[in-house]
Amino acid sequence: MTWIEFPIVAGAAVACWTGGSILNLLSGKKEALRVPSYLLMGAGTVVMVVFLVLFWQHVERPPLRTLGETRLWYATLIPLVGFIVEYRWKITWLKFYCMALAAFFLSINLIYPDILDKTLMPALQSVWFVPHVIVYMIGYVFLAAASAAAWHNIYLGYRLRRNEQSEAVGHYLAILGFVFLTFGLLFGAFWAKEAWGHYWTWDPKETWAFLAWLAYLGYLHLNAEKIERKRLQWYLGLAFIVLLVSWFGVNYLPSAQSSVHSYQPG
Amino acid sequence: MVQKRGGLFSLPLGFRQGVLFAVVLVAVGFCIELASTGKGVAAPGWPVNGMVAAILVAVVFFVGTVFRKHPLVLWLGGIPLGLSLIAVLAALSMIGGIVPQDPEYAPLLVVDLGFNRLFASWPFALVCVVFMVNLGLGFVQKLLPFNVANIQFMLFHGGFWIAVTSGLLGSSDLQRIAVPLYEGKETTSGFDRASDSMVELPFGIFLHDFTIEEYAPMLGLYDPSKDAFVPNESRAMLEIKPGMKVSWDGILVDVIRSVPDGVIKSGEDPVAADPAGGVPFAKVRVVHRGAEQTGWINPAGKGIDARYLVVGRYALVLLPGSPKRFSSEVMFTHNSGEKKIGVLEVNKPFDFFGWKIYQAGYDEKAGKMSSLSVAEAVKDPWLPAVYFGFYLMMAGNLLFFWQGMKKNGKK
Ligand code: HEM
Repeated sequence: MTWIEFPIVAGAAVACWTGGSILNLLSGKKEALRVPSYLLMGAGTVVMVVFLVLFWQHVERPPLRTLGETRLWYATLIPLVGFIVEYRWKITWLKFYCMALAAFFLSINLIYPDILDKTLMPALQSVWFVPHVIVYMIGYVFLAAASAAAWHNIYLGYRLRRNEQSEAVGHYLAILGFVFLTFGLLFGAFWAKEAWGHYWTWDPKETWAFLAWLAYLGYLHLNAEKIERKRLQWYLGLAFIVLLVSWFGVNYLPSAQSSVHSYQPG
Repeated sequence: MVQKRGGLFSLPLGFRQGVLFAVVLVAVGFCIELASTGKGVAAPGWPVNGMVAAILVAVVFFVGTVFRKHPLVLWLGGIPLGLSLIAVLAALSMIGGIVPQDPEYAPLLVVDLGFNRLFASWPFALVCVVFMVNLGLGFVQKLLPFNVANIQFMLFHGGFWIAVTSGLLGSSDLQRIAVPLYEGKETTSGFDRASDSMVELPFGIFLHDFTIEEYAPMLGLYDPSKDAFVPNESRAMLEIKPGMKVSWDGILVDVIRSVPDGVIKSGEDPVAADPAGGVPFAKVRVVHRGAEQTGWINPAGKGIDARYLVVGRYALVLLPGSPKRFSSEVMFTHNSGEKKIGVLEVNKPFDFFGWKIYQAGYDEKAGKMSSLSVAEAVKDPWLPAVYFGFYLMMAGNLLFFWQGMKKNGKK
């Protein structure tokens, strides 16, 4: 499978998620629709997983090199977080945000199509490549979900329907995201040592990854300092912006000219 | 949280004093930076840095245990100050992440304030020093008396403390030396960017052979008006193969022949050459609006001009394959006389007498024909301490993961 088949695959996945979501919303009135709704939503994710596997086989290298390729992973992983949150914490609304976000990533790939390039520069040919990037992406996914939870909590606050369990879920998602971010940072340091001779060089990408990590470190310590969670929701919601800069905004900063971390070919 | 706040300088100290302290620290740092017109600061070298580390640890442990209940010590090792430091550290890092970190980058005020080498500037150094004291005191508070329930805290904070203290203090003992290697020659010295000078190595590196393996060359339809390549209908980069047929909207291309490595002796046709000495060639037939043309295309090489075919407003070009692997067969000879044979390759550094030797680069203009290979010799005596800290953090991280998986957690 390549980018030629991608529009069909993306269409199929989004159709499954949309159909499943509609059934899921209707299942409040009609219990019989529950199971089919989950099967359909899950099918969307299965479609993405199959596409990723076949795409990986076709390019003969891990499909983690271009931003377009990493968006495929987000689109696959984000709905999973929504499903896990529902299973674990009985929070039902998050999965809808997650599927919408996944559909958004797929549409970016449709609007800015990638060119398939099988080459992999020598610096990326490392055992650290896959763990480093995947761990980071899982971290991003959890933190995206944490900020979705925070925005939802802010909204609940306005409606005077504050929900502490929902704030706790945002907190757990932030912890999980922070854990993966920390692993990503450390794996990146180990890799940089092998590839470039030093584990930390304050390259712009590294600096922004550090900043994003600090932002969530700040959240965790504000929380540890017994500040009410209600007052931290704005912080948690906005911290994601720093993460977005570190993810792709870096490419547009003046400092990017000297970065060794550009994912884009050429 | 409706405590009555005391005056700024009365106990207990809290967030306001933390923020004030951090901001004053940064301001002082920038003043020193301005006064020294942006010369910056570096950690002292061995053995002074080792002594500083020992003193830091001793003082932190002494103060943290003997005066552990003193309000000032509690504040110095507490979260309010820690958060204030994290905030200014983030602000400084943001400057360093936006302004290019480049000594040549020269608007005057930027240079005087040290914005262009922020991570070696006074404000950054001062914040780091206080951060180490704060983190160290916080760590000792939870370490003693020992309680297993605090293990996750100890691993995270102790690990980060060890890693960052060793990394910062050890930065002056880090040596990174670029060593140019020429085929058939031994090199015993290299260029040290930190001191901007040539230095002798305790060993020599003899380069037997430098080789580059490339990916297949690629066909591209270039649009000069956009300075971009036109995506073809298969949305893939086109690795060239004889018999390949490619089409762009209304343009059909057949690859008739290809020569992976060739040179031009006379006339139009290339002859096969040694891989290190030639460029790829392809003979193609192009059909566009009923008109047909056939010709050779090739990228430029040593003594070889690039050739392309004009197709409407585009140009059909052949791009050399990007490097897949480059490596140097070398022999190391230590001053003690010990010899070792090895291969340097990207991502596979070679260990020799406490040094790590990397394949760093080559003469990119010459490409495959390069007889120059650039190695980098790195010595970082503090690395084990930094990695020890990293391992502790990873262990803390695993424990923290389980905390994130909790089911119920109203505060
Ligand atoms: C700036 C100095 C720092 C101070 C004074 C500090 C202090 C603290 C304190 C007092 C707690 C609460 C512990 C508890 O309630 O049991 C805490 C939690 C924590 N700290 Fe730090 N810390 C600092 C820096 C760091 C750094 C650099 C890291 C990461 C390497 C870190 C990671 C954590 C984590 C993961 C938690 C747990 C948060 C939670 O349970 O929600 N801290 N810190």
